[in-house]
Amino acid sequence: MSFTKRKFAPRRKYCRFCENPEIPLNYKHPEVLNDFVTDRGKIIASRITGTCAKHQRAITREVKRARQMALMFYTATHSTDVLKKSRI
Amino acid sequence: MMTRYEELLLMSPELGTDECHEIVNNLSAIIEREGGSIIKIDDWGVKDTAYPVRKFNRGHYVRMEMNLPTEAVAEFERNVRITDGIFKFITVRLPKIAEEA
Repeated sequence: MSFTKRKFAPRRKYCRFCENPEIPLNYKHPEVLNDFVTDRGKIIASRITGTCAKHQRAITREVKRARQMALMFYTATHSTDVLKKSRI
Repeated sequence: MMTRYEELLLMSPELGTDECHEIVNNLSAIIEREGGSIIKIDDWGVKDTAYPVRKFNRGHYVRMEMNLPTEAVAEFERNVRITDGIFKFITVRLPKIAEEA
């Protein structure tokens, strides 16, 4: 009953904003931020997306600003398109 | 001491273009009065909001970029809060662009 310790080999994750600094990282471009948010609207951890700490802090700040300005929703349950679907 | 700010305004979609211009002009007048200056105003038009804001699923976004003395921001925001056409607003300090020589 020995289980071989399978070594989990993740593909090398890299910080997208370090690789390509031109990507606009601010609340005015929610389509960029949406890659770092789950479909329920939660911010994805940097250990999963591989972003570095500096940019992860920036992402968090910008996502919270975008949420405040209704450019991104806080949770999917109250998002406009979900409400529209439920009304049909 | 002048600092560069960016102000994003979320206004009611029912505002006609003239009311919207009137609000923006009022705010620009306030900025001038406070000794600031407008760099740019771009109007994103009426967009769908991610969640209903005051029972509206759409909102009129206007972005104002301006130079403002730091102590005048509170006064400016007080005026924005008074204006009833504006639902949400956010003031963001922009990094100082390298002063042209």
